[in-house]
Amino acid sequence: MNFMQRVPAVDNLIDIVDLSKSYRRGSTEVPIFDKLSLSIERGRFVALMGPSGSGKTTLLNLLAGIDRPNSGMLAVDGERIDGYSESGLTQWRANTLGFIFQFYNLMPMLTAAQNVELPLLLHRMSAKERRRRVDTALDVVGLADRARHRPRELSGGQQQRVAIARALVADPKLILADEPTGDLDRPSANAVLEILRLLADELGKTIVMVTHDPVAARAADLTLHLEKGRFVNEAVAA
Amino acid sequence: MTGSVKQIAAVARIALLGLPSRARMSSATVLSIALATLVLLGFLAMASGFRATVAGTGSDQSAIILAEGSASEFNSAIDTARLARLDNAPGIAAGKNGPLLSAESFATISAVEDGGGESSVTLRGMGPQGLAVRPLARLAGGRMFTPGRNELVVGSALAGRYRDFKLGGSVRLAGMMWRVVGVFEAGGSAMESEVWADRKLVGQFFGSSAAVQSVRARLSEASALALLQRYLAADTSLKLVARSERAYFAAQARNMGKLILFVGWPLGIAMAVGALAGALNTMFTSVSTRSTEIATLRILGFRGPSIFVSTMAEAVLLVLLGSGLGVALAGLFLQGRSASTIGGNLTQVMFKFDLAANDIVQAVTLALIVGVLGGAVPAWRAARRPLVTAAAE
Amino acid sequence: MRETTLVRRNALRNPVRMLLMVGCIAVAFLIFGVLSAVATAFRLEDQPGGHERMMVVNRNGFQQTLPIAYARDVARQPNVAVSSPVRMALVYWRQPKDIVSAVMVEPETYLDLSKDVVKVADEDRARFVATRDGLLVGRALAERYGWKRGDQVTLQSFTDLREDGSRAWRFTVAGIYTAAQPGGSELAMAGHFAYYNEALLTGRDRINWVLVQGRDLAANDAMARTIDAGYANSAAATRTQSEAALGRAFLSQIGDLMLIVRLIVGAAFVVILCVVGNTLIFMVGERTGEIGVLKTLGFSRLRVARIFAGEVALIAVAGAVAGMSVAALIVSALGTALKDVLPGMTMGASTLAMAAGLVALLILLTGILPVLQAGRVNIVEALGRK
Repeated sequence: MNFMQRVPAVDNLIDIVDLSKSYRRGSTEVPIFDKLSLSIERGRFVALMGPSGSGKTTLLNLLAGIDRPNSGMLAVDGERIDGYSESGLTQWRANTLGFIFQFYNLMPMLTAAQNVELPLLLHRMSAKERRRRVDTALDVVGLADRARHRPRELSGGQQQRVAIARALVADPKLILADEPTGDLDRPSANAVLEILRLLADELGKTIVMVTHDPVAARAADLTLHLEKGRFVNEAVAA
Repeated sequence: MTGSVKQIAAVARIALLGLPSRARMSSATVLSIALATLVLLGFLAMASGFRATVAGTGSDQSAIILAEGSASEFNSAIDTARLARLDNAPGIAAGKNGPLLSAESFATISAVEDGGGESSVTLRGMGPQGLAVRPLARLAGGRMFTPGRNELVVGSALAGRYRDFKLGGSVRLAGMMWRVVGVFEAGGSAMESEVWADRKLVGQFFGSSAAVQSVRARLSEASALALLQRYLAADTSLKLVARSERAYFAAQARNMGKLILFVGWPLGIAMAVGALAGALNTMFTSVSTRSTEIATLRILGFRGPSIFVSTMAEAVLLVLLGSGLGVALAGLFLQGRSASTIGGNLTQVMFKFDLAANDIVQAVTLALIVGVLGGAVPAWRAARRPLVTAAAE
Repeated sequence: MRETTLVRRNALRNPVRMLLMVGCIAVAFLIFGVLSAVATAFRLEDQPGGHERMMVVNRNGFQQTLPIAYARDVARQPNVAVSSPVRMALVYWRQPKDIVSAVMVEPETYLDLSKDVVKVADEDRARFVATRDGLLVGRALAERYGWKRGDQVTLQSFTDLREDGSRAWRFTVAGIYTAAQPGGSELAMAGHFAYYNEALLTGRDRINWVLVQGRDLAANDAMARTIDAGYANSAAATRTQSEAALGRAFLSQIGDLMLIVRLIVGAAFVVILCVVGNTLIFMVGERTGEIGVLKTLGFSRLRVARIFAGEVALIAVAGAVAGMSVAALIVSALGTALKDVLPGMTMGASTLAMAAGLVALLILLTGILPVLQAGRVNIVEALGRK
């Protein structure tokens, strides 16, 4: 692991302090985390592992601002989002976040390029600038020649690469990935991981990736293990 | 054979048991079919009722004599000077005071309804034999008017609907008061929408005494019409034509009924096409929500045709429910409802909506066509779908 | 790409469903368009000047007559600018089935009063006024029977008898008129009342109505009351109304035409509300996952709702345009076919405006639930991320 050499000063992108979250299931309160704390430095590629029900998906949801904590502090790049309203979070997601889903979740009726362009509709930008960015993003994932294809004309791995381009195109500070290789064969999975590695190394993106796959986890700078709402490798967590 | 029947029954049962879970889409289809059926039935019942009312006005025991070239009383005129020449015409029944003939002219009068609105009704001036030449009519109350007096006899449909035409009451017409001295019935026919008075007074106050519009004659027997017709044809200076009352009113009814159907059918069909779009949509949705179920059944060994038939069964059941609802609504709200419209004389004719069995058959047939068309395509798709795609969804 | 691209692509992704919805909406608008055009043609109020021109008719209806003396009395009313007596004549040419609608008039005043309905060239007008047995014939009617200016035509009356016992009237075609408005009838004719009247055996000196143009429109109602009051107790009581009101009163007797039209259009729209509304709700349900993705990408509730509303609007407008276009074709075909029976059948601006209103209402009613539902989609649930 050589990230220490590349990141000279400690500069956190994510700061979580005493975060608690529980769900109501019927009449009972099911706790997911109780006072969880974690910091992730800018530019790191972090893998999040743990058995089902450990809370990793919930943690990703909270980081993505699609779910809200019951209490505690959650800041991304110094901006506290735990108190944001739904519309505040929506705005924040558009500006800050790229998200990669396990099942790609591309819009079936749009071409690859249009899928990538989708987040740019939320930004004030000339058509020319949008096209330049889409081209660049597709280039990064190596699919420039598939720009006009519809998702169903692409393989799973290609679809996931389009999804990565979509997560990347608005130049977000944080990219979250939810088992991005979970539905792919080994070679496609490796290609996806290579691209994620590249995003961290070349573009300095901070990436948090939930995965079950130890091979995928090995591509990350470090791996956090979550079990029953706690990190088991305390040493790595801040 | 019994095997496939059982298969179909089993699949259909599964499909129909699933209906409640698609309740909203299904009930939209049922409702749209019901409304299409209702609109069509409304027109059909209107046409049937109107036709029955107008056609029922004529008897073959009587003849109506009009000027040559006139298809209806409305555009006929007969010089009163010629009337005497009819007295000796053959085929006409004899009464106590000579042949049963009634020279008639009509006028339009405006009358006040029970609700306060005004509308036009026919005031028919007739001779003293006016009642005797009409086998279908009889006095239901009061008496016939006295010639020379301002007296009216009103049809029962008017008596029941117009403030101006209550027995014993009086009404102002042409600057004079007229007393309602009698009410007549005529088997629910259009005749009941008329007011009768002495022809000479009607001529004098509402039109012209120099001409009448028609002559009614009671025939000695139905077959005597030919005698009368031959007599009229023989005298070319008369320029008169006789028709049986029944034929005359049947022709009038046909024309008016046709107009209603001319409007009703295109509308009914348009509504049915709208409902068809809805039914297709519902069935496509049903097939797509059931795709896993259908795939499972087929993997279990159920054959395509049973899937097809069961999907059709669902569509047909929906339209039957819909058209049944439409028929029920029509029966509840339309059957027997009184309505009025403008008849051949540009005056009001009262009639009742009449839902004939034939009308119901036609409306349900239309709905079934919608059901079969709406079910067939989605059913065909469901039955033919490759298993791999279906199971993957 | 724009948001509209998304809307368009969304609408087209299930072409069969889209077509069915558009078709269903088109049928409702077709029914609306055709019925309104028919209803408009029935209402005379759309005739130019129909609200200002008054008619004095027999209280018992325009089929009944008034003494010609009434025309002179009415002309003396202080508010009357121009008035003109009119007698209807039910006549045919050659065969009884060729019925022609004719009026017998006082030429100069009648043409003055009708100038926004019919157009007559100056020389035709002069010739018609000067020719005692002259006829002013609608262009379409003249073409149908091949009549030219100067032709002698003999018309047969159905109900009016001449003193000599015959029904034949000789006329000279003096002029041709055209309709002042597109779609107006050109199938009628006018002759001189004086010429017709002098030969009558039946109903001589009787007219069917007096046309009146008031000086001050605001005083029309008072004038009508004065005229009617003057004849209230005479043998022929009158009713004075605007042309439009008279037409409406007559049509209301056919059965409440507008009510029937509204009921049917209402039924058709209930059908599409059910069908389209439900399909849209189903569609939102089907796309819940995608909505979750859009929201994850940062699309706000409003934007998501807007994309769905756009799709609903696209479908509704497509359906309405299709339906109204077919309706326009049918109306123009019907208008040609029924020119004699029901002139003036066109798709007017008011019908189009109402159609636009209906589209808006339709979008609102069918769209509101699915759009709200789409806006409300919860990401965590939509993506099964729990």
